[in-house]
Amino acid sequence: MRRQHGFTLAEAVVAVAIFATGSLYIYSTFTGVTRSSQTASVQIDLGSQNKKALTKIYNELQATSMIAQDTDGLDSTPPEAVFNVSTDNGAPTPYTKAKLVTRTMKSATQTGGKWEVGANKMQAREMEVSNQSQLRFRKVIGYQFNATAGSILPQWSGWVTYRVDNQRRLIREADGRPTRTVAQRVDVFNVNPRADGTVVISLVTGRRSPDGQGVRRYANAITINPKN
Amino acid sequence: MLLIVLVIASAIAGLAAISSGRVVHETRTQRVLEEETRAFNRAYAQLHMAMNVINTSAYNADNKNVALQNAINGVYGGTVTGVKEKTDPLYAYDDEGKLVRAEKPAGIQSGYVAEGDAKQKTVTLDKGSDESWLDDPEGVEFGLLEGTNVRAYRARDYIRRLQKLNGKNVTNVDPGGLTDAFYVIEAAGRSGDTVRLVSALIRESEPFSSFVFFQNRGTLGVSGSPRGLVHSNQTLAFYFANGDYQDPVSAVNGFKYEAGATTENTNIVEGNDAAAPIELEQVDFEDLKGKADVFEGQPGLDAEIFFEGDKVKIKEWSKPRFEMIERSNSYQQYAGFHYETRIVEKPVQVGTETVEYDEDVVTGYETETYTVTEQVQTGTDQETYTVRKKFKIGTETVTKYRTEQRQTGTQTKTLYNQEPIMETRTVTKTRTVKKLVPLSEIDPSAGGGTVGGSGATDIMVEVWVEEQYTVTEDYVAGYRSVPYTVEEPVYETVQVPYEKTQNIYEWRDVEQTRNVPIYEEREVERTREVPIVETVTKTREEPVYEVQPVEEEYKVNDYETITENWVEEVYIKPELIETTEITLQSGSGGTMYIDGRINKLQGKLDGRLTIVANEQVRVTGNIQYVDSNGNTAMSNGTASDYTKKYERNSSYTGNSTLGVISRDDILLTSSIPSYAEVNGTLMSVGGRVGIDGFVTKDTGDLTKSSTKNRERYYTAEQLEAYRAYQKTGWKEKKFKKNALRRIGGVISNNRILETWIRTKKGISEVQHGFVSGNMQFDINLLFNPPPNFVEVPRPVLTYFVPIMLVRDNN
Repeated sequence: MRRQHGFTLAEAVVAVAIFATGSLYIYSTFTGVTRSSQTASVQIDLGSQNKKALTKIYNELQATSMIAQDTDGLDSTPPEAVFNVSTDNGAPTPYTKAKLVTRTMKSATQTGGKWEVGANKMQAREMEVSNQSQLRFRKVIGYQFNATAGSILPQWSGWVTYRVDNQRRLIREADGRPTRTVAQRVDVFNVNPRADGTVVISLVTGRRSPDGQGVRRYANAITINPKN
Repeated sequence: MLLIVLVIASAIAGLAAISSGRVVHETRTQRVLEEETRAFNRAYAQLHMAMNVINTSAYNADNKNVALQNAINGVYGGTVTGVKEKTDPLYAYDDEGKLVRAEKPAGIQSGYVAEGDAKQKTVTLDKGSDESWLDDPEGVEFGLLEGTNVRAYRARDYIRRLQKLNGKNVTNVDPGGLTDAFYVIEAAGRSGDTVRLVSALIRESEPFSSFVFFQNRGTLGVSGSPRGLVHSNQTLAFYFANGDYQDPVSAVNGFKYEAGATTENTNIVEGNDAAAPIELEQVDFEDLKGKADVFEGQPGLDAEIFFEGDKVKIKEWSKPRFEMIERSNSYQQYAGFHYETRIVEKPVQVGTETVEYDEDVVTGYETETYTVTEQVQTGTDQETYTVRKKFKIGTETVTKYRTEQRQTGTQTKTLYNQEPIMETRTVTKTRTVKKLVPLSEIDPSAGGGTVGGSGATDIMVEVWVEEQYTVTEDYVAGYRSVPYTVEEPVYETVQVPYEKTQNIYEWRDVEQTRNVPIYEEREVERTREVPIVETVTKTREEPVYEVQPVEEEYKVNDYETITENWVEEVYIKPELIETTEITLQSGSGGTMYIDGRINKLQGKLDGRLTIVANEQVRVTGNIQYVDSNGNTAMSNGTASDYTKKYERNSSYTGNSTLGVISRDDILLTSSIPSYAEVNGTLMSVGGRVGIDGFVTKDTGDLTKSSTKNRERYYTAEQLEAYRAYQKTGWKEKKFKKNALRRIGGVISNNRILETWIRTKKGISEVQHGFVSGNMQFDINLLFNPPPNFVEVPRPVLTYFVPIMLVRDNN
């Protein structure tokens, strides 16, 4: 649930900027992953299934909440957590450490006390890859009338689950819906909820190299701020 | 051969086509997804700007949001037909950002017009366009919010719109019109050929029951992880590390971090440290009184209220009071005398008469002889008797012995002293110390609380903890024997004879004689003189009286009547006037109004009820929500074992809600059980919510109730009421209890106080109130406030819903 009061103009501008940044983030935060001691080389492919999967999750998670909710509005029901991340120890994890590279940093050198900014530089940083995550959540899908309370209450969906199966597929399971495959050859599906109410999802997938020489890996991460 | 080559070529071409098609499809899907994301984001941006219009809007006399009303009335376009007049605002934001009641209609802040990217991508969904499948079902209308293309619907209408968009049958929603306060605003975003809708549910006003803690005056201290809104019209202080505030917290004069809390270890999901004040004074008790549909107390009468399931018993009492009554006393005071002549009937002697009478007269004496018997001694007798006597018959010399100690020499003796062997060692010891710790460290599920006192001002729990410490100490590792010698004399015991001369005695019988008198009885004649009496008749003269009127002069005292008047203060005891029992209807519940003080409030409530109190409210026992089967809403609410978790009772199936709105204080009193539970939202508009026995200072802070403090801070009227109530069983009294468990919020004008901590010589201890506390917000109050509960004139954006079913054009 997000309850908002008295936005200022500055906040509105910031809000728009965050949305724009959110879109950009998909493209540029993690542009690739270099091989660790266990992995192959990486090539950036913006049209990959990796980004499709993250976009789907991004859009879907907008309607969930990081805060416990009273999902049916009845006094007899205690609030329940509608967002849940757990470790899926059963899912395969091909490697435990990856070197992510961002290309947004520029190199700089100091000459005679003066800084000179050079060309873009691939900024490498390490990422510890934990076991695969299992993401479960419910989302607001509409509104309902509660005659007892004389009020309008949110209508929550059943549970939606994203997890990596034993064939390294990222699948989406929902109550009463067929299971869908969202991404194949998944190396990392990491969901990291943060105390500020946002969640960072990292996805590393592999794809056969066009030249047939091994596998290329693609990495993206996205920060989501659920609206409810 | 050629055939083989053709087949191979066809296969290669086919594979290439498949591969190419897959790439094209994948790229297109990705593009659609990206457009969808952009469309959503643009729609969200529109909604945020629309919320600015609503949030900054004024409120009219009916507590309606002007921007929403203007939109829903179609003032700025839309499909609404009928009334299109702008509504007049009653509340408006002043230059300091404070929401105040406007003297005259204030100008509407027009909000923010979409600009730049968001503006360009705004989509207008016109009726009759090729996107007519987005049209509303029949009977559903919308209006546009000023300066935006965002639609505003009544929420019940929007549910019907969603039914149509989802391809379901459109049904009648909320035919009774109970949800007038709920609206949905909808924005459309476009990217490329993709259109996405996002809607948001808005409640026009914020129920005060949404606040878990609201304080108007003084610093509000909170700790733990309370759910529900927290607001201070002054400063909000966070106490203790690891506070977690998932719902919005706000303060007009900023945040403070106390007792170990820091910005780093305190998680605030949504905080506003420069919030606009929310005025409690705007609560209209006359309006609330008019909404009392289940009971309205008689004017000027106090009440006792007892919850008995779905029944509520109300006893109405006259007020205890002192009345000034005029008294008078009259008495006679001596003022002098005068003489009066009176005619009285009196006996008057009119003559004499001769009367005869008999008289006994002694005429002489005669001698009478009589006989008496006497003992007469006639002689004596000599009597012999024997006595035993001791006679000395001689002397003799005897030898006797006495015992003496004689030293015969000396001897040397060896003795031993036991001397301790001392060593030093470091020892770890355990001691039990009293310690105050935040409630969340003991029970992470526990909510927040408030405390006060000269030290920390938030809920903390006093616990005994075992603490280990080391000391270096000397100890006796063993003993050793050290010899020494002494010279001792040697004695022997001897019997020494000596001679002693002593008398020799003999006992002998000796005969002795004595004289004994001899008596004899003899009759002796004696004489006496006896008088001779004769009766003689005599005469005498006696007066004769008649009753005749006679004049007499009297001395008469004069008196004057003195009357004294004075005014006396008389205590008038309360009297039971009437007892009423009402049954709460299931469903929406009801509202009750009590004009006087509520002196008792307790029991088990099955139903939804708001009590509006014109004066002080005294909580005198447990208040628990129950269902029709008697199951309590919470488990372990009154358990004396405080380690048992205070949590929802899974067996509970009721929908009980209690709201208490008081013009004066709402006090937890000394008769409350030692392990108490209170379910309900308590709102004191002009006073405070907290424990009995304290006086509110001018600043809104509290001090102990004492004669001096009462005289300083009470009005004359309050002082007189205090004196009268102190003569009843409803008198003010400080207390100390073990635990208080609560669900529901607290809204208070002055400082909220549940625990008073005294710090003396560096040691803090709970002196009054509740030693332990567990407070949980009733999250259902966010959606389902008590009937007619007071609302804050500000909108609440609750839920966003992205509409995923909208199709693409291509």
